[in-house]
This record gives sequence, C-alpha cells and structure tokens, in this order.
Amino acid sequence: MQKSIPMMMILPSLALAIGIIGYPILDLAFTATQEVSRFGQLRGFVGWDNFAEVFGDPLFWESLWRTGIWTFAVVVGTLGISMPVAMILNDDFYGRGLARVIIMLPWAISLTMTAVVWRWALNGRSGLLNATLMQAGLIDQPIEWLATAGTAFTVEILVGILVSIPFTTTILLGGLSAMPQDAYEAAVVDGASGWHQFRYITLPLMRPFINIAIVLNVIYVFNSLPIIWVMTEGGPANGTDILVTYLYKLAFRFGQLGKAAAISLIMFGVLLIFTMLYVALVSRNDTDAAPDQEDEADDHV
Amino acid sequence: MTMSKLTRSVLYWLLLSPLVVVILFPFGVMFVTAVRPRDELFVYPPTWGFSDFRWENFSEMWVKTNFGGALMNSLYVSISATAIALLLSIPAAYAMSRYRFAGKGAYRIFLLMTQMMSPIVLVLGLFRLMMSLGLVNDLNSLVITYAAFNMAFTIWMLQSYFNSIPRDLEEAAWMDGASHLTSLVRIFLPLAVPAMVVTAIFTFINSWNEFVLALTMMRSSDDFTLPVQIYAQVAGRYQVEWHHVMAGTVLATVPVAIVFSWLQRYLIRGMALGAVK
Amino acid sequence: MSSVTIRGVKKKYGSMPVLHGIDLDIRDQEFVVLVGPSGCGKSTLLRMIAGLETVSSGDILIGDRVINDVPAKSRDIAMVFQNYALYPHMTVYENMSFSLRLRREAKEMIDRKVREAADILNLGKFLERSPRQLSGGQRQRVAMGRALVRDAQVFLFDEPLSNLDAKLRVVMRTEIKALHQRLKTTSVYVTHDQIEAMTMADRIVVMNAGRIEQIGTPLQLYDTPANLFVADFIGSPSMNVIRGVLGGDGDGAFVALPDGARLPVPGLASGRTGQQVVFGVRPEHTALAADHTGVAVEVEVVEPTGANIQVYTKLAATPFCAIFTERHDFQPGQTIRLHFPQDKIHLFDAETGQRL
Repeated sequence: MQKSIPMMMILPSLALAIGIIGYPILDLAFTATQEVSRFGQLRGFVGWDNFAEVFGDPLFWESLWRTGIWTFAVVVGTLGISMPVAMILNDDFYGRGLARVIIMLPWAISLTMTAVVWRWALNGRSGLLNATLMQAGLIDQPIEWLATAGTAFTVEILVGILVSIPFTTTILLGGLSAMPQDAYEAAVVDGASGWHQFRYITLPLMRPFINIAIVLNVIYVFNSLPIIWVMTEGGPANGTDILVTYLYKLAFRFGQLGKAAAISLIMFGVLLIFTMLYVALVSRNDTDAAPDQEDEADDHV
Repeated sequence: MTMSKLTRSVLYWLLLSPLVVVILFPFGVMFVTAVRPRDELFVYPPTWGFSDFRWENFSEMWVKTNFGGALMNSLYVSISATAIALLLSIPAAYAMSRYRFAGKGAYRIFLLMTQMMSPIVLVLGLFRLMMSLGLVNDLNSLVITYAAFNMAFTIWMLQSYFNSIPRDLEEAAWMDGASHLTSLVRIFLPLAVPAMVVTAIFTFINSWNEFVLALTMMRSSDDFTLPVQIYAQVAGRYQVEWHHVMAGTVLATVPVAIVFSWLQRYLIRGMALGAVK
Repeated sequence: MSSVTIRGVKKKYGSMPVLHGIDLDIRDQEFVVLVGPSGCGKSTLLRMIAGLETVSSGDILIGDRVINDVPAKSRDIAMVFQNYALYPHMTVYENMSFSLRLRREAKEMIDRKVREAADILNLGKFLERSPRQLSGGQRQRVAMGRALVRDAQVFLFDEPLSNLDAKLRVVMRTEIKALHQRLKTTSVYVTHDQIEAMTMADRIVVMNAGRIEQIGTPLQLYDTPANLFVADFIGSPSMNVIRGVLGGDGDGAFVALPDGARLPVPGLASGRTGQQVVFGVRPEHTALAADHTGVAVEVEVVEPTGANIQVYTKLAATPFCAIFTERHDFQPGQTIRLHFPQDKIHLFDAETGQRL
C-alpha cells in the first residue's frame, strides 16, 4: 500500500502524456503503412510504399538538405553569439539587469508574432529594414528580401538565431554562475592570462553545458515551423522548404496523409537519436537532487 | 581584471549594442506601424517617420479583426491548460522529489523524451486523434494537448523547486504529530506556492504563444487563438492591413513580455537547478 | 518518559545492508549518545527510532510496546534536527506551538507551555519573530523549544550542534546537558564529535560500519577501550599505537618494537610470548623518563597550546605524540626520553584489534 503512493501520484500525468504524446506516435506508425485517402480514410495496408514514395521525391531530399543547413547554421550561429553574451552577462557591470532583460526579450514573444513582424519589416517596398538601410545611406534601392529563396532563407536563419539566443544564453549562464570562483583566483595566481583562463578553465568546465545547449537547440531548431511558415510558407517555389514545412503542406494542403505520416516517422526517428544523446548527456552529469545517497541504487534500474 | 567597473560597463554595452539593436528593432517596427495612418504604410521611399499618431488604429483593429474573441479564446485555452498541467504535475513532482520508487528513473527519461517531441512531428497523429474524439474545432482539444506538452516542463520545474524545500520540515511536522496530509497542507504547500505561481506563469506563456496545433485544430475563425488570428490576417491575403496587424501584435505580446521580463530570473534559476543539472 | 529497547535491528537499502543487527537498551531518563564516523549508521538508527525510516528486521520498543509499525506522528517522540527544520512561514511562537495546536489543546494551555519553554530557553523576546530573523544559536533554541513543549516520552537529537561555530557549540552543549538534568527525559543524541559524546552522555554507543563497537560510560570507554577502533576514536589527540611482538624475560613482560626497542608492559598470562600485538598509550599518559631509562625519541615539532605542550616525534618509525602539562623548553632535533606508566598502557591483538 505504502509503495503504491508515488505510483498513484505520477499516474495521472503519465496517463495524459501517453494518451496525447504516445498514442499519436503509434497512430502515425500505423498510418504510414496504409494507403490514405485525401479525407483521411485508411484504405488498406501498403507496406513500405509510402516510404518509397517519400524517398523517390526530390522535394523531400531538397527539404532534408535544407533542414540540415537550417539546423547547422542556426545552432552554430546561436552558440557563437550566446557564449560571449553569457560571459558578459555573468560579469558585473552597470545596467546588467537591464541587459539581461533585453537579451531575454525575444523568448517572451511567440515565434509567430516575431515572424509576422519581421515579414512586415522585410517588406520589399516599404519595409522598415529597407527604410533604415536607405536612410542610413547603405543602399539606394529597396531590397526584395523575401522574393528570392537565397536571401529569404538567409534572413530566416538570422531570425532563427535571434530567437534562439535567449534560451541558449540562459543555459550557458546557468553553467557560468556555477563556475568555481576560486579556480579563477588560483589561475590568476598561477599567472594565467585572460585567454588562458578561458581556454583551460572556462571551456572545459562549460563543456557539459555547451553540449546540452547544442543538443537541445538542434532538437528545437529542427522542429521549428513558425518562422519559415509565417515568413515565406516554404516559398518561393519551395525554395525555403524544410522538413517541417514540407510535412505540414503534405498533410494539410495536399492531403497526402500516408506520405506525411511516413515523413513524421522519419523525423521521429531522427529526434529519437538526438533525444537519446541528450538523455545520455544529462544523466552523465546528473547530480541527483533526490534525498538520499541510497537513491542512486534504485534510480538506475 | 584591472579594468574599472565603468570602463568595463562601457565596453560591454558597446559589445552588446548590435544585438540589442536587432532585438529591439522588431518592437520599434511594431509600434511605429501600429500608430501610423493607413495611407502612410506603403510610401516610397520607405521611412520611419510618419505624420500623425493614430491611436484609434487600436480600437478599429479590435472591432474589425474580432481581436476580443481571439483574446478570450487564448485566455480560455491558456488558463485551462495551465490549470490542468499544474494539477497533474504537482503530485508527480512531489513523488519525484520525495519518494524512492521503482521506475522513477524510467519516468524521468520518459518525461525528457516527451519534452523533445515537438507538436509538429506529431501534428498529423494528433489531428487524427482529435478527429476521432470529435474535438476538432473545439478549444478543449488545445487545452489537453497544451497541458500534455507542457507537463514535462512543469514537473521538471516543480521538482527542482520542491527539492530545495528541505525534507526535514515535513519530517519535523510528522514528529510533531501531523499526518502526511496535514504536513502537506500546512507545511509543504504554503512553502511551494511561489514555485507553483512561477511555473504556472511560464506554462501560461507557452500556451499563449503556441501556433502549430492551434493552426491545425481550429478551422473556424471564431475559434482562433491570438497567434493564429494574427497570422490569418497576413497569410494568403492580397491586401494586408499592416497597421492593424501590428496593433494586434502589440496588444498580444507586450503584456506577456512585461510579465516574462519580470520573471525571467526565476526561469534562469529553475533551469540552473533542474534542467541542466 | 520511557525506556527504549532495540532488539536485533537491521536496515537494508535495496540489497545494501546499512545496519547489521543492533542490540541496545536505553534506560528511562538516560542520556545516550550514538557516536561514530559519518556513514556508520548512527543517524539511520536514530531515524528508525523516530519512525522516519522503516525497520528491515528486528524490533524497536518504547516502554513495553513494539513500535515498528507505529507511524512517526503517533510515537510521542520529539526530535531536534541537524538543520533545525524550523517552519519558515511560521513565527517562533507558531513553530513551538504547532504540535500542541495539531492536538487541539486549549489556547491557554498552549500559551502557558510555550511561554514556559521560551523562559527556559531565553526565547521570550523572539516569540513573534520569524526564524529567518534569528541567529544560528537562537534557531537551535527554537528547535529545542519545539521539542520541549511536548512532554514527549523520548527526545531525539540528530547532530543538533554541527551547524554552530565552535564557541557556541560548547555553550549549547552545556545547556542541553543542564536541560536534561532538569527534565530527565530519555534522550538519544547523535554526533560525530567524540568530545560532545564524552561531555554529555550518561552512556556512549560507539558505532562503526553498521555495528556497535562498544557501549559504556564515557570513562569506561576512555580507560578500557574494547578495541583499536574505540581506542582511536575516543580521546584527542588520538591514542598512539605501535605494532610489536610480545616477549618476556627475567625483568618481566615487554613489547619488542620493530627497531629493537623494548617497552615494558604489565605481566600477562604466559604463552602469549611471540604474539603480534599493538601497543597503545594516550599522548597525555606519557611522562619524561630519567636519564638511561625509558625510550629515546627525537623531537620533531613542538606545539604549545598554553594549557599544555604537544610534542610530535617518531617511535620505531611510527608517528608518536606526547603531551606534557608542565612547561618544557623543547627544541626540534633534541632527544628526549619517554616513560609510559604501566597502568596506562593498552594492548590489543594485532590480528583482531580486540583488547588483550
């Protein structure tokens, strides 16, 4: 009886998670092996046909390739900016509180709203980005930012970086604030320069936090629909489609549900790999907050 | 090292300034567009300047775009989802924080995995699920999915805060003659209130901002939540009333941004305590 | 007030045994201290008495009643926690009256008891403050007060002084002892500090690795430690111990050290000659020997503490400490001769560590 109390306490949350997150996965797996009508009726088992169709579709490969670029560019860009920003925000200076609030601001706004505002700001004729650049004398013709796939995709990547910075900085800041101050004092006494301190103390000690920031960002960016969807809907001419936008179009525009289910499953597989990686990273530096040392024994069953 | 705080501050602000400008730029765009007269939207050459503050853009927008309806929908969905997520998370987080039990590690990993599963990957399966439950075009479909997708986060946040409430307070209460229920109600919960409020607000913001599921499940404009409603005024229209759209985004984002700014340090703390460690 | 009896109590976490079978009788009105290094199981045992840990096997009795399955709230035991465990959202008064309010005692009665306890503990001025506004020592007193108001059968203390600074610890130590002399409530007190154990206990239970090493009054433990562990644990600085071989000749019994020196020891039953033993003597029981007697050692470090002088040397290549209460002007490198009074010498079996 005593033993079942914690079970009873987690059961409701477990049930909801299984119903809303677990069941759709199974349903997708089933749907992916079925022929599906435009209106969602299943018309019998077709085995791997849906997958074969996906793999024979050049748009899938283009989207996959673009997803790779999108994820890589956004994650690398985000980390490259967030690391110095976190180091600055971790140091003591006038207005640090204000700086933290401003840097975190994009996190508070829904991606949809951000994308809507940027879509307007990037308007090819009267957008205020063009206004800014022209008034500053940097260009004398407005640029049609979203009219060609190349510039549109670049701009979308930049917006992607911008909205990923707050979360990443937060993780890195958490790591930096846990950094042992005496290690730096010891290093200074040992004659280490600023660069040496960064290279031999900060970076190695931050490694777990950087790893987690990378994996989480990869997962989030890989999954992110609103920016590209709102700004270009994958256009022009599918030129900015990534897997999620392509998947969404297949499912809810073109009614190719079997194919969409197959892509969902492929993405699920990719996510699973990253999630395992994340779980491995988290459990490696998991200093369990559970009450007793002895917990460890049953924890890792 | 030897730099004075003043020099350091100036240097840091200079280094941060490009980022600060880029972050604040969209806010500037929002405000400047929202209060502009309609016929100064599409001028050539484009310019920041405008002739007149048109505050009535906001009231016009409110009426023309059914902003109030979408606002009520967003409030209903976000508040209900937050309440359900919290109601289910509090006991789970308490169990994770206070009990040893078989499968605790497995449950923790399961939660991590649900957090990684974004709605977009499951959206087709979810849509089919809601179809079969007859919940498409029903705001309650969003309520339960938001609750489910936020639960990993809320359990995590709550657990990390609960861990910081010393266990011996409850033990002391038991020694003082309190039953488990009494110690929960009179000792634990009063101490956990701040954590629950903070977690609730973040869950609310997450639900408030969600887009993909709302776009998929809500097919009739009466049921749109704010993000979908604003998106709907931009997508697939020949003529976009940008001053109304921007007025809408200002109203939909600014209150949330203010609350978030006020609370962001708790998020940093929660992350440092729970997520990363 | 009541006795506490522990019979063959074992504790396992999963498959890991923590206590290997503890037998202990705590008499009514007694103040018993459980002492041992961290991880020895002393806190676990205390928490089992409290009802905060389950008993894997064996019985715990309060008076004549087996309480293994009685929940903590019904055991009528008061406990002072290491970190005080004061309810942060209640005032001192509310903290102290919490248990009485749970029992729905009359208001006047609660008020009288709280004020009584506050008087004893000098907390009168702080009753309306919140724990946050108190110093460490004051919080400690509130934790005691919370236990005091209850007239519980047994008091449990879980390292209550370990968060106080050294000076305050000595003060509180005396206060707790005085309090017990006045109330005479059966008390079980856990600490890792042997001085606390020595100064406060009626009887001490020395624990190590989930077992009881010895039970006795403080002076019994000091004078006749049952084994090397207790010998080493009780007393500060620790007892000097040197391995050697037991021998005997016309002058009597001796321990031959590896370097050939012979230390005379009290006569032992014959037949032990040739046995490997550990020779032990407390630093404070060494004396300076006259010329040509005793053993010669070279002074390495001299530490005057004011009350005495601690001299660190080596005897048969083993570190050796000697304490003198008289003042001597020793210099490093100087050779001195030491003598060990026969009745202060301890001998242990080198194999088992048990006292001979």
